[in-house]
Amino acid sequence: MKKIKWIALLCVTILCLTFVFAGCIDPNAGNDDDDDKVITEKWWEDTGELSFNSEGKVKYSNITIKLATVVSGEDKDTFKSIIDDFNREYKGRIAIDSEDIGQANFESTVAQRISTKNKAPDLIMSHQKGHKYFVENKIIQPFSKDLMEQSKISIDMNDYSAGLSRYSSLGYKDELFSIPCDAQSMVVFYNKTLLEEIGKELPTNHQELLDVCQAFVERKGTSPIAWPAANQNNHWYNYVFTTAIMQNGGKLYDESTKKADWTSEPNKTAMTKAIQSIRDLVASEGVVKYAPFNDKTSDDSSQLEFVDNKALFYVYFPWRIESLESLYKTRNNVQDVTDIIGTTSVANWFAMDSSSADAGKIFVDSHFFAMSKLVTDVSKKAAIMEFIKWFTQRTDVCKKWASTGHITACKLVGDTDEYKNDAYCQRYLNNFYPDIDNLVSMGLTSHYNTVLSHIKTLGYETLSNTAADIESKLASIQKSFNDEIAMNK
Amino acid sequence: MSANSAFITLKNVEKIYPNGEKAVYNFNLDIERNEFIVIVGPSGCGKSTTLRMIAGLEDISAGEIYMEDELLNFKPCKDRKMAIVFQSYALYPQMNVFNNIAFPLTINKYPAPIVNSLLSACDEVKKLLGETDWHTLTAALANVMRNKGSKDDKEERIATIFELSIDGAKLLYDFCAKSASDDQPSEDVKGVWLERIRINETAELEKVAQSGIKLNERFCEVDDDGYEKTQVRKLTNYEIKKKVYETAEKLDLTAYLDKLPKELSGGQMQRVALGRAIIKNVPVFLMDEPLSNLDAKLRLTMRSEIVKLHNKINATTIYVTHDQTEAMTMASRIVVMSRGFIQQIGTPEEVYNSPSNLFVARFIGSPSMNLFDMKFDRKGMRLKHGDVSIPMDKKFVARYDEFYKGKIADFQGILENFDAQAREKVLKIMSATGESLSDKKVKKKENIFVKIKEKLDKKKNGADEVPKEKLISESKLEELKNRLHTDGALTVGIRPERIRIEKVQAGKKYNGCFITKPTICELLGGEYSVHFDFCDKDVVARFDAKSLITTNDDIAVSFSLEDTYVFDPITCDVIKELG
Amino acid sequence: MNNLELMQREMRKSKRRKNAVGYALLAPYVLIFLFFSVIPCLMGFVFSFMQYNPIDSSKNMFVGFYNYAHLFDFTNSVSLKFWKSFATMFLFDIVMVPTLIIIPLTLAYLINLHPPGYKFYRAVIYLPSVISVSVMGIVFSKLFAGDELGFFNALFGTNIKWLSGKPFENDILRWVVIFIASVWWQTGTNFVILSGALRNVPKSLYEACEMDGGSRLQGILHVTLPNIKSSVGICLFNTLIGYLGLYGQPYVLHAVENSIDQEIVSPMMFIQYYLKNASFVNMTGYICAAAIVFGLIVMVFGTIERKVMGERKRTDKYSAAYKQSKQDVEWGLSLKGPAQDIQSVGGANNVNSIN
Repeated sequence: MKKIKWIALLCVTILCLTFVFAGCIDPNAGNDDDDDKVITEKWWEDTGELSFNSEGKVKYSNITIKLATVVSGEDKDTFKSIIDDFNREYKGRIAIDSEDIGQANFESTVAQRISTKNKAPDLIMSHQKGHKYFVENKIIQPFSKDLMEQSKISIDMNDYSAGLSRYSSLGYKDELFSIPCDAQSMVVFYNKTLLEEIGKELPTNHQELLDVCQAFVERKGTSPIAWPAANQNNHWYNYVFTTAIMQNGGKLYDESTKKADWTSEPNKTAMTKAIQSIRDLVASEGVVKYAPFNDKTSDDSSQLEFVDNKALFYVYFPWRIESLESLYKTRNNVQDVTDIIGTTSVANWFAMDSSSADAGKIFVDSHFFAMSKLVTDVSKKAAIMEFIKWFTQRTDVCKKWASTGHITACKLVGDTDEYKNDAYCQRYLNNFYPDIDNLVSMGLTSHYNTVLSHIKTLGYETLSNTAADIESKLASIQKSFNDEIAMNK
Repeated sequence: MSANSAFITLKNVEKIYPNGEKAVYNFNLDIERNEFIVIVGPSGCGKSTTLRMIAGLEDISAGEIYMEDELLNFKPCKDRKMAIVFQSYALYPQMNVFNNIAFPLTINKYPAPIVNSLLSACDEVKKLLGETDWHTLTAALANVMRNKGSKDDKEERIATIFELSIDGAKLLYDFCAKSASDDQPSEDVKGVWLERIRINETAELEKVAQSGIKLNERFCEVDDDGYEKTQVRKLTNYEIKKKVYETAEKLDLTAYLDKLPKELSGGQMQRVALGRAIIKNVPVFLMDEPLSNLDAKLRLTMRSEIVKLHNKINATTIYVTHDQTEAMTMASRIVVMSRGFIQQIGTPEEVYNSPSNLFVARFIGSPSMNLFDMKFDRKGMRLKHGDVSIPMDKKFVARYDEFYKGKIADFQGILENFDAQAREKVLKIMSATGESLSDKKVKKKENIFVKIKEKLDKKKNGADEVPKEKLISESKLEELKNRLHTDGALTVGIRPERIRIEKVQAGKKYNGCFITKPTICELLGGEYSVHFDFCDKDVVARFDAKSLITTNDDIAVSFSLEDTYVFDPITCDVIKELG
Repeated sequence: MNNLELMQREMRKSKRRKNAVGYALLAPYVLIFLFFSVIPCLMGFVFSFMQYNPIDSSKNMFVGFYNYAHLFDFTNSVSLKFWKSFATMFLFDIVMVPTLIIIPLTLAYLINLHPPGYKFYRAVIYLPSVISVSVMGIVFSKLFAGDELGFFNALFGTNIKWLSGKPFENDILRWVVIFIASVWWQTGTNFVILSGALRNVPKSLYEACEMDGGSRLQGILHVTLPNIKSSVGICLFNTLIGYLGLYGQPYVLHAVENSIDQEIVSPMMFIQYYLKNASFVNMTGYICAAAIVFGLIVMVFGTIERKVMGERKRTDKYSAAYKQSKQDVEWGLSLKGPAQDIQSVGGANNVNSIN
């Protein structure tokens, strides 16, 4: 028995000592969050050689590209038909085999597949927010400038929206990791007839919005804005609340440290203004009374409010247009809704200072293309670049893709008259996103989950509860945010 | 009720199970005080059922049970003043032996006189102080107080040593605790104590007088007629302990008081079960095959233990067993049962020497009675089987005729009015003969479809389906009638010890003996069981082991007429008994 | 010699053959247990001492107790979430675990009395336990939906938000729903075990108790409960371990509008949340450490439960008391004799020395 006791004492001592000294090891030493890193060691390969045809263009012979896309909702069918178009055009040369994976676990699924080399896709089309995560974990490889020269397929970031293309390097100097494709966010439908009834014009800034809403409430008595159901999913927080913060000049996180810095100026004022601007609209106390955003039980019921002419504005994603219009037609027994349903955007809605440069910002999610690190054959890489160029820079393709509510990120297309005068764009997209240079997305942080969950917590705690002390909430949620980031290095 | 009614009376007690099966038919028995009744019979004869009906664990379907002229049918078990010992002992596995034995005392309330505890305590202590030498008293008390133990333990020790009640002990403990811890207190302290007692007594008496309660010399409350009032209360721990120790001493279990049942042997468990029964201090003990789970040697010792216990505590015992040896050795009266019917009630001697039918004759006695078939030769007035013939006398012939005439009359009566009672009579006869209705006891699955089918079948065949019993009784009547004219077969029986065996010595003449060779000679130690063939049956006889005997020896077998029994094979009743 | 060797070889072969069948039957379970429980457990143990990234293995390094130090750092809000989740879980378990023993036991006792239609009730009680937790979640979240369309709200014309609220503030209704759902769902398994245990109580014990004068209630106390103690111990153990790892029920019956912070009401939910989401890959080592600590805490509870339900040490008090009382009686008798005749018999220790 005595021996066992001594051994036990020894183990406990060792345990305690290691506990004490463990704090001295810092695994984060050596991780720098500098956004201007240089790649020292490549984690991808180049094999094979390009072959050219008589015209000097790259010759492809039966290359299959596995594409993993996050497009899996109502826009899935349009995407499939675009892919079929490509496959038809490049028959015998390049075939795209696309698979859709839901956005809830897209990043974890694709990362796992590529790292275990099991059913790994070659080309990824997903939301920008996850791409920094991909590069941090060495899932994707950059598009080589040399290869672009060799194959004469060049994709220049200057041709793309300034707001989005600034993320393409993903923090590595002079590298091109992701190519922006499109953008989408929450948009606004409004009832033209009702607007006329209350004798107002479309609001161009926050104060005007409040006036319009007040007038509507006094006249009609129902809530003027049909929000999406904030208690069913996170979209409201991910798009509307973030837009409000952007429009007031707020930063979700500090770009150099990746930490949340909400308690020091000027960010503190920006965040407070953002919260206040939404409280003006949704809090039940105050001058005007509007329905809070978290009493809807489903997106369908909020849509119903608009369709039954109880709400003036309907805030939702653009891909519901068809179903919205058909539902309106059936319920109100009209044939044509072009004069009844109008479209506008959330730009300028929340900016407390309407003259600031940030007032028109809209927080979007943008689809970007990236190439898996496992692709080695240079012909395949060239084929991938060819497909990306075809998808993002062909006007007819962009027009088709725009019909589901995704505005093109490529200025080469977006600035053409053909695109701008397309019926769909004219009626909808141009109003949804007035200036594509003003679109912002998550940016260069791999902790997108932390950002979104804490923004939701912040919104939940402060927005409908006007008694909450904004400063203390900012401090406490920021601390949780930073602790989580610290653990996750 | 009549003055000479027995202690326990069972009148026409019957048990019918919900599925229509009758387990006990028309059980009648009078039990006197201090009797040791053994109900014995083969498995399934209804003896356990009867015992459980007496105990109250089964409902009585018909008939009454009286104890001291009180109807017991609807009384719950605990009010019947009976204790039971089960075959499986049924000891509570989570309690040790002490608690198992104490269990009946701990969960029940018992009547006791309402004693004014303060006054009786004071009186006791006063007496003790007066009788005992002061120094011895204080020395003993000091010793007790000094030892380790809780207050309750010390109080109980004081009560044991000085033979006080627990109240007196508490008072004395109180005094000791209050006085200075001095090993040799002086006589003054005694005076102080006496004074305190006097004060308490006077105060208490005043209170009693004020409240109008009357007390007798023993300080028990009495009513206006001078009878002590009783209350029903739980026993104190001290009283329980005393009783349990007593019982444990009686059964020699004092070394096992802390053990759990799983740590005990079969015999010890049996004794604990007995202890649990006798501590209840009830007049009637019921035992359901308590010795079946013990090995042979232990069974012998426990048999005598149980009888000795029965005599010591003057109990009335009803004992159920399938072992006829136990019945013969322990009982004051035996009840032999078969298939729910009582075959015979009598003392061991009666049942052994005068069995009323073939079943009892076969069942009682070990080795069992030798039985062989012989034909009755009326003309020759003898019983014949092959070469062997036993001459009978005129008395026998007369008995024979009388017997059969009587039986024929019985059966005719049965057949005339074939009601339920008649059926039961037939069943009773069949219980003795061992016959069975072919599908009588087949347990059919209580399937709703089968039931419907049966009902439909009955309807088809009409209401006047002839019951099997009637057919049997008709055929028996025919056979009986034949007996009067023809030479019928009879069963002759003789007990092994009544057969005389001699080893054949050359030159000696053996008249009237039957010479044969034994088939088997079993040595039991002091005697042999010698088997030989006789009348195509294997017959057993006893032979003293003082001389050797083997299967090669010739033996001369003889027996006298007086030692034989004659049974009628049709009804299995006895025609001729010993003598 | 040869023959002997041959015989021994034959014996060994036949023994191996007999054992082979046993091993073959054991193999499926052992393999599954090995690959899905033991090996992941060991791997998790190793990872808890590392900075581990399952996607990008170049970042893996050994960090000793770094993760555990972080886990026990109570100023870190992530670790605080972990420890706070214990509070909500314990509160729920204190109510839930006894209920899941008492209700099945009562039902088993009542069904054991074979009332008419008992076979039907038996099936009805057991059936819910065969469905999975997700099905249970769907059923109950529809039954207790917070708007007017929810079943109970529509039935009673109320508009109670059943599945909403923050822990420790106003989510008591949600826990009531989880409680009802868990009782409905999991009574069956314990019911079956306790039912079997009740049937195994020997009938003669009940009869003995009846004859000794015990009432129905005393029969339950002294006969039924002690004889089913081991089965109750097993049920308690299983239920306790199961509810310490509470995850499914609060997850499927979550408060619909909750933010992430309010979601995490049990340690298992904490672990699953951070394991599930892609962007937390670098925290894998830390989560493994949290899981190891959680596992150790559950083990402690399990051990306590086994000790409590196990056999108690027994004393010799009755034999000793009996011996003492015998000696006392003799001593008492001796005291009654002439005053100078003081003989100590056994227990009276120092009488001689006093006098």
